[in-house]
Amino acid sequence: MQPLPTYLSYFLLACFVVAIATSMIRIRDPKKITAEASRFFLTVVFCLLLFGALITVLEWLFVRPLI
Amino acid sequence: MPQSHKSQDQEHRSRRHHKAATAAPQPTFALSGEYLFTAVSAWLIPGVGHFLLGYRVRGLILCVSILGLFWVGQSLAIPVESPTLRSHERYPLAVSRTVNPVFFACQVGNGLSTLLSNGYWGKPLYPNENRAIIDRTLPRDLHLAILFTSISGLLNYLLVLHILDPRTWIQARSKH
Repeated sequence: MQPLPTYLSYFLLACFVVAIATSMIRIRDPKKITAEASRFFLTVVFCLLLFGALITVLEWLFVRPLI
Repeated sequence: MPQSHKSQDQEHRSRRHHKAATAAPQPTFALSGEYLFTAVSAWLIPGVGHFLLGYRVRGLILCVSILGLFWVGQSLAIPVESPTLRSHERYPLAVSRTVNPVFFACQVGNGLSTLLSNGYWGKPLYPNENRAIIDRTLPRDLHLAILFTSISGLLNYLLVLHILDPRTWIQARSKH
């Protein structure tokens, strides 16, 4: 498997487990746990995508001209 | 104070006394051997503390997810096959108190799994890491493995803290 998909899938796995575990500690209602875990998961994935896009733009602007 | 206000006040007080007298006794918390046993079990095996408190499904899910993350991490840390490595030398390298003491502090939140991993496979590959050669048999995803095992250890610290909280015990007793 290529490094990027490997990293992404492992990151998603870790993020999923963290979301589930932290939600299950605080909340008792299963529906609320699912909602909170999904919200946490999607927020982290969105932030990761945003951060990746930012790094790509910076690389395109500043690193690519040097190569 | 007018007479009507006085009588209303008395009525409120008598209602409160009546409620207090008829309500079920609130569960209380006291330090006990059971508390210590549950806390230590929660540290040794993730989710067992919740299981013992009566949260069976929750305990099982937490156990599978946190231990799963730990052992997925360990499986990523097995060195690649190489003619220079004998089969018995291919063991997971993510947990080692000698090599990674800071990460070990995170990983040890997992209790038994970490202690066993460190006991069986925690010996450093090289006696003096400053003079180590560049080892191409090291697993490619060793950093991911250390990250996963550390995250699972830190998550179990959260579970243990939740078990140590007296409010968790009061909630569990009021539930059952």
